Amino acid sequence: MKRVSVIGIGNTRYGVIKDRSFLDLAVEAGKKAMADAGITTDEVEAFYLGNYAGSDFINQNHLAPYVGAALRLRRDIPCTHIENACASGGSAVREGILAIGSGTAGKVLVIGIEKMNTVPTPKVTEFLAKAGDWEHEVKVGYTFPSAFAMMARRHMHQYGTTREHLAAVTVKNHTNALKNPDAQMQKLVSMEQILNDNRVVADPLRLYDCSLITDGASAVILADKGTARNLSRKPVDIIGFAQANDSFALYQKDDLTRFDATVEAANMAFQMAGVKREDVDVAEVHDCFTIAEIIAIEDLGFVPKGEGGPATLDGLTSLNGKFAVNPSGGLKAKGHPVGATGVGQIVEIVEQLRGEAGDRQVKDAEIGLTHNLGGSGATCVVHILARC
Amino acid sequence: MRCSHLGKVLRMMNIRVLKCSSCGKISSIPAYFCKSCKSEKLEETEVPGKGILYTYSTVHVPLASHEKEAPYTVAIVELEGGCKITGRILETSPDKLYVGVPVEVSEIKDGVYLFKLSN
Repeated sequence: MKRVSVIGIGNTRYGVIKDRSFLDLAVEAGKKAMADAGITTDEVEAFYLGNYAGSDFINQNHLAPYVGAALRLRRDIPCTHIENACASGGSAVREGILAIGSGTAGKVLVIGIEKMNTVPTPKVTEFLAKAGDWEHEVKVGYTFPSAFAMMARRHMHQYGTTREHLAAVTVKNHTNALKNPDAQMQKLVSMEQILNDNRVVADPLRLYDCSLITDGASAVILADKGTARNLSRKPVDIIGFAQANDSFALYQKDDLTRFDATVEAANMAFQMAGVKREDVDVAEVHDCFTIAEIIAIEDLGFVPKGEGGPATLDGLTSLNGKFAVNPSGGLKAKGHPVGATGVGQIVEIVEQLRGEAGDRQVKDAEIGLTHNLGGSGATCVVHILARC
Repeated sequence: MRCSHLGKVLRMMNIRVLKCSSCGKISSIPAYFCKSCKSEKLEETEVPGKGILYTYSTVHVPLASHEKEAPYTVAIVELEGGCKITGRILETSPDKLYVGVPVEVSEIKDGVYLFKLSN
């Protein structure tokens, strides 16, 4: 299979953006990525759209040609929508890589988008819950915060993880987001403030443990390595990628402190990339809840099982730590426009590997990783990228 | 002679599960292949509606469809035999809830198992 590179990236601001439509956001991100790559719409040979719940949030289906037509893409190219819950964006990128790898397309546009602030919070919670098992979870009253809360409780029970460990994720990611002009959350928060905050969402998770309800879009342009070398001033190669699955519902899992899909996807991606865990300088991981970041760095193999909390509290994953995790602010503070997240993670890693991440630049970053989780872990997509 | 009243009570206390004819592993419903050996030979049986609280969470920010019920406690219960199922916990005192506390089915409401603490 042909080696694939990222030659263009683009983000909208992430936040509560009520005055701009779904198309406004998708087109802005797409145009920015094409401009960054130095290509026109006529050069795009396949388009993949990552979106989770446009049919709920904006009452619109058939979303890929909806966006493709707005971008005036060529008529002779496929426009395809990928839905894999919160991993929709990561899965869409993976489909783009496969299209180039198979030789059916030379340059591919991938856009991830979600516009969520169209309904009140209980409705948002209900739309998100549809990514769980309706019969055995949603009907019982499960929300996504409660699913991750149940995992947090097991992690606390089995490994002694504490609320302080969870809070360390929030402190770090808010600190990083302050250095990201596109991030939704622009506010520092102290450990003391978090531990004294009593707004319980789903016990033991509180408000500061949860990611945000976000509108936003992100886009990338992919090309085969040869084309990338001719076109791009700073191409970044995708040296490993993998997608895996796990039990759909939480109760079907053997161990609630681990996501098997992450373990499998990480092993496959690292094997393909031919690099080791300690070679990774920077990672964007799926911190939909604080406990999810702790579990992610364990499942990815960056720290031993059960040590994700202490590692975070000790600063190993800070911007200047041993390996930086979520320099963008992550889902927790940059924001989590569900379908955009997996694409936005690639955008952040490419900026980091180009050395263009400004105040949040991880020094001498050469190898980066993205980790995008869907549902309560039934899908996981991992990408490993390298500076050329 | 069979006591119909007792039979009814026993049925209420039991939980329907699937047992693999090949390896004996119990799976919760639905399952089409055995979780352990992937055999399709699964037979419906019943196990006592008793087990331990495997994990739980009290929901304060509910779904729109459950807004009037909050706060409520959702859970995963590990039945005797190792199979896990979902349900609600009726106990409302947080001090009495912990991982590993024995629980049993109190009733099944709209297809949802409601558990109480075992005596």
